[in-house]
Amino acid sequence: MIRRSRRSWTLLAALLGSALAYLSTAVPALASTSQLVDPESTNAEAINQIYRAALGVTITIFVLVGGWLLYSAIRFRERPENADEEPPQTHGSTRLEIGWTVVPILILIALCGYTFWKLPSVEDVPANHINIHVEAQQFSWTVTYPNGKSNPGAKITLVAPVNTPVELHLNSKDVIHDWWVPALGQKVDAIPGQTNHIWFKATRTGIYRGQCDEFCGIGHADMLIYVKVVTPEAYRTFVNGLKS
Amino acid sequence: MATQVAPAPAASPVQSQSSGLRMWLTTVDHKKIGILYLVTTLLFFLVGGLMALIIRLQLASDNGKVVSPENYDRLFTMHGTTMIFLFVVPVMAAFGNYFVPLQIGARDMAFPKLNAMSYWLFLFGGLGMYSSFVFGGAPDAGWTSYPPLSEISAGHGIDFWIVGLHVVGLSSLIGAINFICTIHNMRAPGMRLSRMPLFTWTIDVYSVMILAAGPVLAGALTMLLLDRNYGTHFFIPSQGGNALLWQHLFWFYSHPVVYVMALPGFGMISEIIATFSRKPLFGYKALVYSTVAIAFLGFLVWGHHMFAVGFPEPLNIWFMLTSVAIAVPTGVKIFNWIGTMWMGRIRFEPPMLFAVGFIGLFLIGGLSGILLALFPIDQQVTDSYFVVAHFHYVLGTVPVFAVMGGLHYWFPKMSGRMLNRSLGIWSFWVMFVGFNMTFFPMHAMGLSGMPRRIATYVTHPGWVTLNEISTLGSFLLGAGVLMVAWNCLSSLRTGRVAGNNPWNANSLEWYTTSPPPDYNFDSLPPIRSERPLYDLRQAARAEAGGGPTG
Repeated sequence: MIRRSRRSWTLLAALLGSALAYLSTAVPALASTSQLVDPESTNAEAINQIYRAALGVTITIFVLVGGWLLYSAIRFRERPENADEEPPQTHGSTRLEIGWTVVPILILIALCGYTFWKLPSVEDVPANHINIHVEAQQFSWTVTYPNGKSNPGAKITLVAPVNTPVELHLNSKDVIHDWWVPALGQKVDAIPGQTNHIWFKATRTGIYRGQCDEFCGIGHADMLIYVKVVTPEAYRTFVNGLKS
Repeated sequence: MATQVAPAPAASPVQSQSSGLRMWLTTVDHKKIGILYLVTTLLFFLVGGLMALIIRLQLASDNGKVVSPENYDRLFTMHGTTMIFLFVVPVMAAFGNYFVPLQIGARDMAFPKLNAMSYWLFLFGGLGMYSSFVFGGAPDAGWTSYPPLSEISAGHGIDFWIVGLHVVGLSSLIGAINFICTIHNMRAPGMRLSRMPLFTWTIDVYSVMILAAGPVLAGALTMLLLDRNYGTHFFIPSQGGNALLWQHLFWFYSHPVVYVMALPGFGMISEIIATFSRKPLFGYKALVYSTVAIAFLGFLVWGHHMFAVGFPEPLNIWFMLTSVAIAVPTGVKIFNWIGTMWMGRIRFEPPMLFAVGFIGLFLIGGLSGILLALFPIDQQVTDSYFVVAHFHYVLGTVPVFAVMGGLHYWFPKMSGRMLNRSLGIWSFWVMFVGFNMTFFPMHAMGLSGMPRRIATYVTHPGWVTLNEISTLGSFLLGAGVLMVAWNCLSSLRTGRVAGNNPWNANSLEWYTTSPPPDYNFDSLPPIRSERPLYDLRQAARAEAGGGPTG
């Protein structure tokens, strides 16, 4: 029986040790899970707000439930002094069980409610947006600007004006691809036979990186996206200078 | 110590197993078929794991050159296919085969020969799929094989994949029918549905789900086969087909399959938690109802895999609401498990460590599932490594913690010998740390924009460090799996003799000898609750006039 008690201490030590080891490796991982890629577009910012709210709720649940689990595991472990004694044979508690069915429902309603409230700023394209057409194919993107001109083969996939809503209309020539530039908000699949739409309104000039996010064949990893956000004047100059 | 219940009069404690090849090839005994399933699925697990390690090596640094993109695509396709169709789904059939008849006090499965047939179909389906590496170039369109990509994939890899899945699917359909017939017709007197062990309950629900979902996949696979080889164009938009039709059919099957894999794992965990807490399950009925509720809701949520395909908004909202609803019965399960541990006298034997580890990690997967169900978040991170992290915390924990827990729990019954305890504890901790190191950083990779299924990546701040941690963790996880394998192999010869009921458990499989003789039982105890062996011990104690000791 003394052996058993020593075992439980070894167990505790192992638990703490591995928790520490785990945390030390997870610090870089943890540090960057607190939010999405720095949002640089109004819709991305709205998604980020939903993410942070939901993350706060889920982390709270994790700490409470995980803590309860850990506490029960340690507090009610068998000890030499009680090993022979039978624990109380409880079969359940309707009141408690109803409680832990209803409370999660309320939390989920709140989370969905918040999402609904934020939805317009994620989904609704502001008026006066410019329309740009993007055609995907293995393994490149062809962007056609409002004046019907495009710039195939360029390193920069798309040039867009800052502080201006841009709606992209996507389709595909061959297989399913997916347009994803994390800093500029959500992704959408480019599917042959249908046109999908997303929009962004970049808040800062700069170059934003993304890549194809739906597996599309051996060149999938090379199907990169660079969006260069420039001033409206620079955008106009660029578009007017396009040849084809 | 607990009152020793008189063992059922049967064969010697460790039965000498005739291991003739002929016996294994021709057996129709549910226990031997269970062992065949178990050994086969665990071998597939090792192969699938090996492929994962090569994937991790490739991604350990930017511009990885361990394998070519062609081979990388084949590796992740077969990793997913193997783990899901050749390991996690059928490993539940392995335990189900062995333990369902024992738990309900039956002599065998309802249809023993059909049972053998479903094993051999499974084996040859799996081997057939793998033979594509030799004959036709392996499948390379991901385990989801979305058309049009899977339509234009050269060679015959995808055709091997389709035919292999057809055969494996047939095996699981036959198995499901067998389980349902066994559970509903062959229970011992007194074994009402409301007294059935949770594991048997979950196998029942598992079988119903396979029956309801399996034919849909079979239909989709047939259409893909016809498209590829016989000139139809169900999924080819340029000829009037619809590429999304496949996704609807595929996920209508494959989302329920998530629960096909998870529910029997929950069943195992329920048994283990109750046994080692030395208490009855807290809220037995709630655990059964939540199993059924999860299964039902599981058929309504497939669209949450398709939030990026450009659904109209009402459809997105519907799939968001049904998906978050699953959190409720899942939460009930977790709370009832902890409720079972509460006030118990918990014995931390290896199966219990695996069970508690499972609850903790599954909680992480469940909570990240809530994040993903809110579709604006999903539209940001779907198909990124965040999703890879999420589904490994949900589906990777089932094989690595629930199934390993079940293996440690039932190994004494199947072999007649105990596993080495300290090796069991060590392998748990190695796998626990390895698992988290592998999969936790993937959340951050995905959030910072790393897509899944890319063979290489260009330098990006943070990605290299995160991937290095993940690769290191995957090898630790692999080492843990090998420790378990070594423990099983060496304990078969040197393990302590287990006796009928080494854990003082309460369901019927622990009443007979370890391993059980042919036809399982010479006699059965009266079954008056969901814990017949507990009742038996109480009765023996009352007869001996003993006090209230355990």
